[in-house]
Parts: sequence; C-alpha cells; structure tokens
Amino acid sequence: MSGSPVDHTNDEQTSRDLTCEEVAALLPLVADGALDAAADPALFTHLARCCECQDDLMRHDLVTVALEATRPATADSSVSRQREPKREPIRHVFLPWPAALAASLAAAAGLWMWLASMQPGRTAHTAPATQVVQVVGADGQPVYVVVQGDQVTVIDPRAIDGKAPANQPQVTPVKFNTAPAATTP
Amino acid sequence: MPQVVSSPSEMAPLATSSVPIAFAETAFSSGNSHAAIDLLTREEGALRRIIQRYVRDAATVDDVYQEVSLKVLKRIDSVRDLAALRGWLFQLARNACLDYLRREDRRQGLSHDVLAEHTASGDLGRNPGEQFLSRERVSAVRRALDHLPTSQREVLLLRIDEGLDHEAIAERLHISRQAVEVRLCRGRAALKNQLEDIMRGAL
Repeated sequence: MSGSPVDHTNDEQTSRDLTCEEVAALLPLVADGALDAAADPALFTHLARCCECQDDLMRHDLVTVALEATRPATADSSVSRQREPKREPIRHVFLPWPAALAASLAAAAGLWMWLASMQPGRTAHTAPATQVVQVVGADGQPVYVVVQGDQVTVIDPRAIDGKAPANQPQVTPVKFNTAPAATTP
Repeated sequence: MPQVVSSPSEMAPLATSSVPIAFAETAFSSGNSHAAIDLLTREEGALRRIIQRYVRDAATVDDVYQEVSLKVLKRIDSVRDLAALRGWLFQLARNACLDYLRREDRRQGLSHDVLAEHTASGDLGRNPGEQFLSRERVSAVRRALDHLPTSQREVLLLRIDEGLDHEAIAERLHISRQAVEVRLCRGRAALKNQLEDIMRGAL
C-alpha cells in the first residue's frame, strides 16, 4: 500500500486526494456501513481507482459477512426485530367474535332488565330486548345483526378477523323499526 | 498480501460483452438512458474488475454486472455530483457483490457438505468470497472476535449481533459515539488481520 495519492491523470479532480493510509483508517467504517459515497465522495473516488485499497476493503467486507453468517440464532431474531418494520401481530381467534359479542350484549341487557324489574314502579318492558340474528349478506357471506330496541348493528365477522374488504366498515349501525326475522337459539 | 486474494494481473480477462442496450432501453425510457449506457460502456471494465475481487466465477461476474447495470440505469438521475460518479459506481458494484455473497451464504447454509467437498478436493471455492465462506473459516473469525479486548468485542457484538447503530451502542454502554467508532475500527482492523492469517492458511 502506498503512502501517496493515487495517480489519476485522466480522472475527475476532487478537492483533495486521500492517501492510502488515510483511506485504510476509514475502511472499517465503510465496512460497518457508517460511511458511503454520499457521506464521503473523496473516499469512494479513491476507492474506485485504487486496487490495493479495494483489496483491503474486500477483506473487511469478508469479516462482516463471516460475522453475520455466524450470528447466534437469538441475535438473528433480535436483529430482525430491530431492522424489520413493526407489523401487527396476526390474531388467531378461534372463538367466533360476533357470537361472543352478541352473548356479552345479551347478558348485559338481561342483567339490566332484571335490575330494572327489581326497582319498584318500574316494569321490565321498558328495557329494550337484545336479539342477535345471523343472516346471509349481499355477497353470500354470513353477517350478524344485533338488535337492541330500535338500534340495529350489522357486524361482518370477516371485518373483525381483518379479512373483510377494506372499503367495508367493520360495524354498520342502522336504525329501523321492524322486528328481526329470527332470534338466537 | 494474502495469496488467495486476486490481484489485477491474476484476474480473468474482461468479458467483451457490451452493455445490454436493448434491455436497458426497455427498462429505462427517460432521457438519461443514453447517458447511463455511455457511462456503463466506458466503465464496464472497471466495474467488472471490482466485481472480480469478490466473485471470480465468470458467469457470476456477468450476473452481478447485470444487476449493477440495472441499478445504474434506474438511479443515474439521483447523481448530482459528476466528480463523484466513479465513487458512486464503486459503491453500487460493491453492494451488489455483498448482496450476492450474503445470498450465497444463505443458499448454501455453510453446509458441511460444501466444506467437505472443498477440503477434499483442495478447491477452496470458486471465488474469494466462496472459498472463504466455509464453516471452519467463518467460525475462525467468530472465535477471533472472542479473543478481542472486551471493550472492542462488546461494541462489535452490539453492532453485528444486535444490529444497533452507533448512537444506540453509545447509549447502551454509556460512552461517546466517537468512542464507539474508535473501538469498532480497532476491533474490525484486528479481525481483518486475523482473516488475512486465516486466508494464508494459518487456521
């Protein structure tokens, strides 16, 4: 490795030529990824035309490849956790959410009706009944309809599982005054 | 100088294939395509020599050169400083070589079969990267890491194994960023010296 700047009579002139010693001192940072052509154009201009410095950098690069190849498995996952963009965890829900939601609503409504009936002067018929029906949607897929008084909510189970088309709302509240066609068992 | 590392005189003759102009014009239709093709035509020899440092097999050199050509065609618009053009080309070529070595590493899985085959035949691989990337030699670099001074080793482990950047390492170790970089440089330089011994056969 020479200590003088590389001769490049026909090359583009840079502000100052680096010597091979100066370049050698920076090569670990190049191999580390901390320096690139945008950060230090003069360094990379030197590298582009100096065979000895290219060899030197190649050996630094092989060290990096070797260390990456022997990275412990636990470190691998740690690195991938840090380098990959965060993704939402995939939920595997086996309990049908609409059924669970409907059951919760029904239980809450039942409790509320029972408490209301226990109060003097109040009658149970003032509490809106909650009913859940499963119907076939326009696209042939089942959807759940929760009816509480005159409030009707349509729930698409695929939306809850994240499988529904993006342009469909997850929950569609509708108000109407007709009775539901059927009730849950 | 390690014997296994190619010097310019040892390198295979440059391929005489021209820049894939038809492919280039298909892939890159803006006004700079001709400038990019002129650049590639002028620098093809230099680019191939850079690639041959990492990859000696002629077919693989062609493949990597094609990758570099495509990147030049796609990204030449981003070049603002013409004086730095050759440095930019060097970086593209080196990155493509490193990508290739990492892909090969994953593909081969550093298998014992590959190592046994190379060792038995005395053939340590088709190119500097492949001949180096045998399990024993790679493991030797990792062992060399274990023998570095603690201050250098812990910085390298955080960088390579944990993937932390310099700032994060500095925070973790309660030292300055400059101290991190000094330790990284010393550690990497020591490992490179060890690598040169390994490549000379002192494994």
